Amino acid sequence: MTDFVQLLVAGISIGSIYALTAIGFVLLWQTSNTINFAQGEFVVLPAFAMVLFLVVLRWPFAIALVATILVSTLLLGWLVKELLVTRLLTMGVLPLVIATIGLSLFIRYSLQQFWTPLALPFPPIFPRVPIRLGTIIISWEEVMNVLLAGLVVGALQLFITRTRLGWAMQAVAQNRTLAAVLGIDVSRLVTLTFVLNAALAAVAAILIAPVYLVKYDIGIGLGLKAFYAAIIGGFNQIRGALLGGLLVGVVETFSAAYISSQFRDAFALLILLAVLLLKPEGLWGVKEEWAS
Amino acid sequence: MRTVIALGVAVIAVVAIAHVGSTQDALKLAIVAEITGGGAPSGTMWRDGVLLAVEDINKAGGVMGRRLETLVMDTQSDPPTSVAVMRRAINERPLAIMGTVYSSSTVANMEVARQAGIPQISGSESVLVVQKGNPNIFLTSFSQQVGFAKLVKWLVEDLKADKIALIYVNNAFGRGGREMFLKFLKDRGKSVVADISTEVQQADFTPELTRVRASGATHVMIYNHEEENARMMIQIRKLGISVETVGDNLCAQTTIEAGGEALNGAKCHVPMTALSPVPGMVAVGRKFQEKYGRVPDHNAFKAYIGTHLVKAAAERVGALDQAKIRDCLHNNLFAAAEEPGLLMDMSMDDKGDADRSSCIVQVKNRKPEVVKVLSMLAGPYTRRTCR
Repeated sequence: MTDFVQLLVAGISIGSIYALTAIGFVLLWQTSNTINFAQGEFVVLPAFAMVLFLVVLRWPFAIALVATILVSTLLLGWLVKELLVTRLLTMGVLPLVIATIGLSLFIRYSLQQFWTPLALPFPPIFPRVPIRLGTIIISWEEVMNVLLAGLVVGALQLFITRTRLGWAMQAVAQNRTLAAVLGIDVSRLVTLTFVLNAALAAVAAILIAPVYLVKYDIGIGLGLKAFYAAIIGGFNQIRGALLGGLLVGVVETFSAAYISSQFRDAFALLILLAVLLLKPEGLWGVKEEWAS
Repeated sequence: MRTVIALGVAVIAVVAIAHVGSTQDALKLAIVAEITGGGAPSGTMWRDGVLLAVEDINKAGGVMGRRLETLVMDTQSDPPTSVAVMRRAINERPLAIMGTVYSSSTVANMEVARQAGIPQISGSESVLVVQKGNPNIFLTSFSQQVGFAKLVKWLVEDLKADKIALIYVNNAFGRGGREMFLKFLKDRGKSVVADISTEVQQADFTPELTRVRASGATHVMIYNHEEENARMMIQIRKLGISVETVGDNLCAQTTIEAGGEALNGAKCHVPMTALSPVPGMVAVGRKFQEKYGRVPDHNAFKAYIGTHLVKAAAERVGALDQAKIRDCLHNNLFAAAEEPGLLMDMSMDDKGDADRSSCIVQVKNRKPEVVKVLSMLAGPYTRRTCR
């Protein structure tokens, strides 16, 4: 039982990171019909920025964190939207998908070529003293991953459902043309979504880097898992991405513990296939008509 | 005008002849290594070790009076890619091929080098590499067959380890290590309490570590690549698992640099280290650090020694005949007194497996400290003249 609880906590913890990343897929898809295959690299780049500010330049943590979020939102939010999305948005889904694949390769191999192909250490953010609850031992990182991810998702949900900007985002998600006719500045909202996504990616980066280290290619697996999570949960619902992320995290942790590490990814893929066959809109997603 | 053209042609001809002359003089060494991908921590150390050795050899007059020249080729840590890269390397007609480090790659590409008859000096350690009966492959460190015999002896006799868990990476390197580890434990009437595989580039090890804790192990033998070793040690500390961690590349400099404080306390059997009491090794370690700004790990030393091994064999043969060099390397003893770049005496058997002395280290304050020096596993070996 002890092992089961510990594994469950570990699964939920890693699932929280997947969920944070998966939410980005949902946000971008909803407002700009962009399936961002550079989502993993959107997490990696802020991790490298944090290493630069915190480790290389030795800035205080809080300043480094703010600078990282600023860099992330500027480069991966505003710049990507202006240079890539604005120009390709009117051409349909496929050119944007191909462009994001190109962007992911560009970020990944630029980091490898111009920084380092090696894994970089990242200082621990939370205490490395384990929390003992009877026979159950969990880490501060696991607890904080879940709490912070929950906090971010909750705040995002409130923003989308309780604010004018959030309502406007929902309107754009449902029908961009109609939203524009109603006077909503669609372009500004798409920019806002990209900025939000970049900020979420920066948070995920800071949570994941101390344990998994900072390396140019860690975004490949992370982006893929988040993509599974978004599809499993529902590509058009933030709560769906949360559910999908947690499910993928828990399933891969349990399959690695009770079956074999070799099957870690296989079970997440099996769930993905089952969802695509039986409930293509996702476990918590809603069926939708194509909106232009 | 004609004079100008004639002069121009003459200058170009002289430059071209000089260029051809210089490339004919130089002997090529092809470095085929994991410059990018998961194996980059090992491969880049290997590359820099060869480059440093080549610089030293050239300063001392080269190999039989000829300069060495290097070509660096990246396998991207991918075995199929390494086969294609090996074919490209062979087209350059090098004297020898230096690499690869990843055993999975070496197992895949060594047949290509054998067919070309170009001696291949590898940084791999998997027993699978020397079990294939390939007469063209030479390990610059001992294989797991020698390394694990020494490691298990130390683990059982010195550390008195009884409940041992094994975590290994599921590839040629890891499986070869597992096979040898279990064999030598069995020879001593012991077995492991947990036998756990992991995947290359795995990030989360919580499930595996939960199994280690549940097994009641007092010692865990960690046998992954450097990057995964670092992640695993961070997670062991974060989960507060009280188990003694042992390994070999677990204490590699690249593991320590990535894992930081989490590596403190790890104990390892290492073929070579910059903090070894061997004076030559200390000097090379210092030179490497000055040149590349980082502490060399065992892969850098393996590469440095391997390059000098090619030189020693060629000079013992007295000709740049690759078949003779290959024969000379088998069943032979090479002494550091004869070729100082070898740093330590080493013996090569008929399968291309090496034997030499090694160290037991413990990581303290992010540095591996030598706590014991182990002598060669077997011997005494004899020196063969190859002429």
